[in-house]
Amino acid sequence: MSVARDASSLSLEGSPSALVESELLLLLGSGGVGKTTCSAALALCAAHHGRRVLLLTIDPAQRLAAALGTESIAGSPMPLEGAPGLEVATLDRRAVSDALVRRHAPSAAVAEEILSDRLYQAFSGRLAGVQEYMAAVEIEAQLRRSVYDLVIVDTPPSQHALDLLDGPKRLQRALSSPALSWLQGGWRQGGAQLALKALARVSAVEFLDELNRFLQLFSQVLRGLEVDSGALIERLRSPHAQSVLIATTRKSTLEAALLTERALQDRGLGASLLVMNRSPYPLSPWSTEKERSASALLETLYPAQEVDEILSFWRKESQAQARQRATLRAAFNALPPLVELRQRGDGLPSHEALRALAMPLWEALTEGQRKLSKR
Amino acid sequence: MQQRPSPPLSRRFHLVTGKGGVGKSTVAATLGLYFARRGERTLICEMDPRAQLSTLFSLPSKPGEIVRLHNEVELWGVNIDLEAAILEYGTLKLRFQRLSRLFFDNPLTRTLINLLPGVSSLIMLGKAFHHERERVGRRFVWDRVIIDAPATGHSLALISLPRMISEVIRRGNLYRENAEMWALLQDAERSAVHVVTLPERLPLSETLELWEALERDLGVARGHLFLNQTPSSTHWPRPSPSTSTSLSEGDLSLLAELSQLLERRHREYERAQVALENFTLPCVPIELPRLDAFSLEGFTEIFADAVKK
Repeated sequence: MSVARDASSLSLEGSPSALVESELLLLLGSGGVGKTTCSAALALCAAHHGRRVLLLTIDPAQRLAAALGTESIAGSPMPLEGAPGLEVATLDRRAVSDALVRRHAPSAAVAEEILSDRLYQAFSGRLAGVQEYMAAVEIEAQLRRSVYDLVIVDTPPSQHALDLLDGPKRLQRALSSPALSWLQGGWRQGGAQLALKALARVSAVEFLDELNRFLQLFSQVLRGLEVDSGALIERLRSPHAQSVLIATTRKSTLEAALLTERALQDRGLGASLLVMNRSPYPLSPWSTEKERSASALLETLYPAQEVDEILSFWRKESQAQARQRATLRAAFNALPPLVELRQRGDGLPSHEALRALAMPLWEALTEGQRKLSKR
Repeated sequence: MQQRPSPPLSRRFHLVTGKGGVGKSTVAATLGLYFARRGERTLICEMDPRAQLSTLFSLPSKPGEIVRLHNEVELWGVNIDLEAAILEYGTLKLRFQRLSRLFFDNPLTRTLINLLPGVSSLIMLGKAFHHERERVGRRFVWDRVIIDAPATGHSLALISLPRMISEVIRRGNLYRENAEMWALLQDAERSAVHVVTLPERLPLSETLELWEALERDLGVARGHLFLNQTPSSTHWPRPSPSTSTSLSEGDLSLLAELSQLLERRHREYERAQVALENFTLPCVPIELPRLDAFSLEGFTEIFADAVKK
């Protein structure tokens, strides 16, 4: 179905998505599973099918750029050559942080004070929860623009936690009154003398003053933000948002996916799909019969000295696959439906190859959406 | 005059770093077993709630406890637990548990620990350093101490923490602790920071960044570059199409399976070659193979051969 789309005016005419809220898709998974490649492939697929897509990565630019075959990814959404309908942006920690300080500080003077603060410079890229907070804000902002009908977020590799979802709340809690008022001088007052002595022995007291000042300043920025820390979680509760878990045959990645799913379910959410990336060709289970037949077959194909080696390799691979299938089956009740993505080809993937990779995933996701809209 | 750094494996303190999914824990465990087999009393420290060390050695997980990992050799492990580390650190430094509790339970410290990322890692790192320095009389308790760096977060961030904290906190015990840690990491006689990677495009490019930054930005003493999961080059030709004409149906599906299997094996090898061709590695890596069936003992023997070269 062709959609008349004027890039400059972003006309909605004829677009099936005009009636639907912007959709959000989070890709979750541990490191090394091919998340970034999957998100790139999925974004290309979606754009190819007429969606207006924003692909947001909260990882250093290079990964995604490499996956898409482009030089670098900018901080604000930029179209991708050869992929109409797709824009890509990275959430560079420092840049986002600075931009948000400027935008939301109560005054330019306060903004500059923060930006030049020693602690801000040391920690801004890294304050736990800040990055995630900023990311959540940015995602929300992009969704509200209604420029895109699909926002895909390639999340940073996570082993077990939902940093992206929990971070903002954690930050807000840390900056809540009890801690801040203690910082403001509560620790100097009587009754806290022992603690004060302890502090003096372990760290410099003036550091506390500095930290206090920084946190006071910074909390002003956060107060200026309209978005509440729970917004992203609320978004995920709507039928227009999905999260997808990505794992490979490597056990640690499956365990991470399981933990993440459990964490999601604890929050009343749940992933729509579990993607097994780099899934190998399915091997039938090993048995004495298979051993006999395989051995006989090999003898007709290969010299005697190689037959044993190849047979041994074949047996081990089959057994490994069977073990893994058993693990998955055992955990299956806890896991969402499975989509397997076959191993991709060699060399730098073309956009076409990437789209082909993501097709099963795209189909599973849009199928799911159709089911949802029938409710 | 610049002295040639001592061979990495001759040093006492080892930090194994790398992105998630490269096999860091496996390499750390292997390194540990390698030293232990040579009669050295070795401790592996991990900082991972998933307790991969226990899994590798098929042992129950006991966070915070130093457990023996191997029956025959002096190989020990500890999964550093944050809470326990905080309490111990506090008790060590502040001498009284009550005082320590007071300090570490108060909302500010908790705020700091939660707010500043890696402070928790730093505390755990501090515990590992404590093991490095532990003595009985004049002798070190441990001949070798290995840290399996946590997978979450960039290793660079973890390693740069001591320096960063020192720049911000300029006085007191915490500063001194950090300074000592930092000095150890930079001492090429005493420690080695290893990097583990895979023969794949993205891990390799990220590894190069890390490797360079370790020296250029942090000045830490680098160890080896481990290239993990290198595919076997044993070449078994895929069965030719002509063989399929006279086969039964059962055999045909077996043939299909075999073809796919060998095809994948061949592709993995080619992909690794291409990836490596596109990268000039900064040094000669130690190649560790992808094993069809993994056993830590077998892998350690291969490791021993590989490092000998």
